[in-house]
Amino acid sequence: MHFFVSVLLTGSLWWILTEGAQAWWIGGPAVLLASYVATRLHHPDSQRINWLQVPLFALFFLAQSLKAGVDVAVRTLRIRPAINPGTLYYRTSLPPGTARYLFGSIVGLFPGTLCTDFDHDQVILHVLDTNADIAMDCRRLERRIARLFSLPPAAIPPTSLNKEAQS
Amino acid sequence: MIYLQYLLVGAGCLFFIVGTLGLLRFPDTFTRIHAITKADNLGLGLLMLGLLPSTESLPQALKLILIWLLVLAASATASYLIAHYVKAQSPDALPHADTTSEEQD
Repeated sequence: MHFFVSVLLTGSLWWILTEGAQAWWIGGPAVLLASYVATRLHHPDSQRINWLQVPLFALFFLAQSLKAGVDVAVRTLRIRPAINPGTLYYRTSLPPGTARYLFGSIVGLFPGTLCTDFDHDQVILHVLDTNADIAMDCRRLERRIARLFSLPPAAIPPTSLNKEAQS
Repeated sequence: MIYLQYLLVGAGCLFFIVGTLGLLRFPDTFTRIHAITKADNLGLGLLMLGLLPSTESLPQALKLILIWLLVLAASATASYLIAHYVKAQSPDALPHADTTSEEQD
């Protein structure tokens, strides 16, 4: 089943790359090989994306990356770069695996945050401005990702657990 | 339509320039990663939006969007990898702000 979905996806990828299905004598074997590798690397227990939630998540992502780009541009263009860097030890409620790694990746494209490491349930973030309420933005992203993976609406830990700007 | 495209492509280029400016002006590796990833992500997105109406076929348009998505995935992953490497090389590289956000106000 996973193999056929993979063939379908990589096949359409080839269709896009060649701008309308050409050179299948290269594309065909490549699609099959890629699907085989994808199936071998697939963990059956990994968390699954609820595809119905993808458009909503994409919209949220677009709005946040627009905000992030404008935010960093404004900070750059000040006469003295308007930054106040710090470290945020953020306690996440997302389970280890795809959901948590997606959080770590995406948070790097969101306003003022950059994932540097994972430590048990903590995500160690570098923040551009410790005066901004980063923990709140992170919680919102976390809730969106939980919905994307149809995870139970996890008990979001209270703010006090997120030791902000801790040394 | 063509003026809207000019505007989008122009704004996209502007964000690329600002991202590079951030790379030069910001003080350390972490803050530079912030500048370059976020500004370029938005810059490329605007560039792609501006070029979309000029495409001649559906696969060509999808290809443009795909390029943006691949760059997004690459820059999100690369920013984590570089930040992680810098942190692993010198554990003191992360700023030690002992105060909370409330205390700094």
